[in-house]
Amino acid sequence: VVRWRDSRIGRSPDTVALNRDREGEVYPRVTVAVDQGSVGRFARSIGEDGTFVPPTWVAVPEIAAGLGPALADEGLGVELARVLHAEEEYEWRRGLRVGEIVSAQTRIDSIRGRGDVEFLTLVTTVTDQDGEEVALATSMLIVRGGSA
Amino acid sequence: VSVRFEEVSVGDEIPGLAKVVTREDVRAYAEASGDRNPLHLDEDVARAAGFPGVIAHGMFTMAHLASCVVRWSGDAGALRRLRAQFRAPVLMGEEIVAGGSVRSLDPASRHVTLDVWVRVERDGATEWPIRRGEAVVELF
Repeated sequence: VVRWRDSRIGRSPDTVALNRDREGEVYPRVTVAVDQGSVGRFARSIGEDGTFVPPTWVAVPEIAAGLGPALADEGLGVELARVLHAEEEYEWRRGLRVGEIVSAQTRIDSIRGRGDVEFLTLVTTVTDQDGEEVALATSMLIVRGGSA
Repeated sequence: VSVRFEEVSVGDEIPGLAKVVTREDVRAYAEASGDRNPLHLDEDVARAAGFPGVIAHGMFTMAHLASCVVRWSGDAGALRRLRAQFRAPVLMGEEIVAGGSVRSLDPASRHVTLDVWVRVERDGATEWPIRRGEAVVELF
């Protein structure tokens, strides 16, 4: 009964309780070079040869702009080891090239609770040097509760 | 060589892409991506979270799926969209197989929409780390 009442108001000290007030929060823009070092490391880790920029390389600016600051955001209350990735969607306007510089900015799109798990959705816009949007990343994370 | 829009039909299957996932790959992905969640690196943390051992990043599996689509289309810059729900963990030493089939074609935009997936055989059953994903590719 206590759990039901607590989850209804979105707060429960023994569960996850992300701070809903952080919805809409925009983290600082970060700048990331699309350089051969970063692209090569990423490409090799997924079995590619680094001769082109893998589309999912945008995870690099995305994580720098979003997951990193979200974990450091004490007002939000996310702990890395409790995070599971539930869903990801990328939209690309074009492919990236080595030598470009992109910037990325992340907004907390939504925080939704459901019992002892909560869903945190981060939306990251990746922009090129001309200010054109090159990719949009939507990441839905599960934050688990419990003492584990 | 890139696939041309006119060469594609609804129902076409794209060639599958298999890969055995190693601890070294996942560690390299953690470093390259910046996602150092201990679920992917630390056995004790992974077990405490209820997994048999460390698991691959969902994004690692998704990157492999993107590779499968890009190998088929022949052009990394042609990928317009990729959506995936991470439904089952991928454990170290397992072979993941990415695949897809053409769901629809839009001649006006030359966009091809594919159903895409990643499966793994585990204990005699098929698990789906990614099932009912969607990819959109813009072809010439």
